[in-house]
Amino acid sequence: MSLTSSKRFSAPFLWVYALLTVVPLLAGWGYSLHCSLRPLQGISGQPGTWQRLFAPPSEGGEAWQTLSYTFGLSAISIGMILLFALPLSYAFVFNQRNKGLQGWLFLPLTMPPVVAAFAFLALLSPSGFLSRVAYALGLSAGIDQFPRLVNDALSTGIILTQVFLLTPFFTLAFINQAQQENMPALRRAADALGSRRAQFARRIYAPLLLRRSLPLLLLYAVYLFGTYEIPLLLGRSSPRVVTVYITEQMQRFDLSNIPLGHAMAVLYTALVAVLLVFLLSRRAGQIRET
Amino acid sequence: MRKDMASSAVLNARVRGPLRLLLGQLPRLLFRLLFVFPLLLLAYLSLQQAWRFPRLVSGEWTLQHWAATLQGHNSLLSSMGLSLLLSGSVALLAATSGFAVSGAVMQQKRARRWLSLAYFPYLIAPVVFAAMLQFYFVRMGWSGTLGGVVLAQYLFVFPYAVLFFSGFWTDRMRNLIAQARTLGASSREVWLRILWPLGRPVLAMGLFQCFLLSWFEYGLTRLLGVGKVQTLTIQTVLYVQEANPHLAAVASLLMIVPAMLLLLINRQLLLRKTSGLQ
Repeated sequence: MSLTSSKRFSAPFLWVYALLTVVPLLAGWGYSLHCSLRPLQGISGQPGTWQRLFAPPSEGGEAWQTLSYTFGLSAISIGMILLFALPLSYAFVFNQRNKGLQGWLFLPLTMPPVVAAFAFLALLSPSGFLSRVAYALGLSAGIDQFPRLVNDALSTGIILTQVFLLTPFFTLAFINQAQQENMPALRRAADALGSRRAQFARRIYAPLLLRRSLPLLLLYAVYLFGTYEIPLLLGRSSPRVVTVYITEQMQRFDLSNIPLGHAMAVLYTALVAVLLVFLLSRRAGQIRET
Repeated sequence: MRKDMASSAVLNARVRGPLRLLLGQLPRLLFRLLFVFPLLLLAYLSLQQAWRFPRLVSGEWTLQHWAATLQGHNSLLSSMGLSLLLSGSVALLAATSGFAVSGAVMQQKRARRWLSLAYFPYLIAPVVFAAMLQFYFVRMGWSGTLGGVVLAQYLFVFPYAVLFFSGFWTDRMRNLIAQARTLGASSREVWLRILWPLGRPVLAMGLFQCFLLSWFEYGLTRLLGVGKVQTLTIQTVLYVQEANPHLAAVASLLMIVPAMLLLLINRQLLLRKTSGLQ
């Protein structure tokens, strides 16, 4: 017996579903691919779009730089988020006195990325709150003396904002996962076997949670790979993240740059799709195993 | 001598008590401050006449930015109305269609495989999705229109709604519906007497989640709205780029308040749902 009625009834819904999920994506991807492959009209003697994109940086090619910068930024952000979220979740799971603080973790979840980026701009910019505190304490002589924390080479502002926005989410996810794994019982067993608390945290708590949360971590790595608003407000003009690169190329007055934006969009979408297929096949394998 | 030692120990304990308490509470206080400070900074900026370097606290408090906003002297109130209309429409469309479609998807033999289709448009950055679709939107005359932005946002909120509601169609729910159908209930009765009462809290939660997804969106709206669909996120970035931190702060707080209210309601719904299942 079907869920609500006959298969005949559900067929139109499936058509709508396929139409809304597959068709726009394929149509958009196909158009971008077409734009990236067609020769530039009216401009003779120019190399193809893909050649230009993957040319060495000295010849103006930005693909490797943009992709590696975006990848590095996502990896560092995820690493730092884990560095904070794992100990925080441990403190919440094993210390009942901290339960009252758990509600505060929801606060950053109410902030849109645009708002968080602006708040961190007001906090970290050369004329921002931290710079004023440093000036008041005599640690900085003025705006010019304060180290650049936004639009800087190390992308400090971007990383800090992403860590601020996502650490609470991961802490809550780890708390939930730890409860599902019955971590208090595991710690009692580890205690009985003579393990130290630090050993338990390092060898059981963190590896188990990381293993269980791997799909979530990879999904958020994909999300961070496509982040836009925060790097737009807090990043530098070069190197840029993939999303900012794509939109900038497509909105430039120089029309010969538009295919570069499309080529990068094709590349980005293909990378995300490959990662997703890998993730989903892994998940399917896990379901079959259980 | 012993008496002196005892009294000094008591004194030490009295002094150390509050200090220890303060030191014990310090990490908790810092934890709270860490999460609330960006919000306090935004509130402070929205209430300041000017914030000139190097003054930490200017002391020039004013309500003029809020008054100007509420009296319609800037475009924030109309932007908020537009954002509410846009996000409300997207959420309503995506949640209702997502609920019905997820039901149809989950009754398929290879439901997981069907469901994986929804991950692709949802995980592609909306701004890249918009960049790839821009040509079609321009061709159809939808670029720069509210309807066009609603449609574009719907295309990435709908897959999320399908994924969200897929969790509702559990084996228990399937058995319940099968039982009702065996006892002679029609499709209409199944929807009205079982799915609607049981699915209402989940539907409300999904509606709020979809609303927030649309409410927080910037890149896609900027690209396909081409500056004509001025939502609150667009306004915030405009004020930041114009170096007007006070109105940017007002816009930011206007964006956070509904999200906070929704989060509170959402948590209550979550609690109600959990107790209902128990």
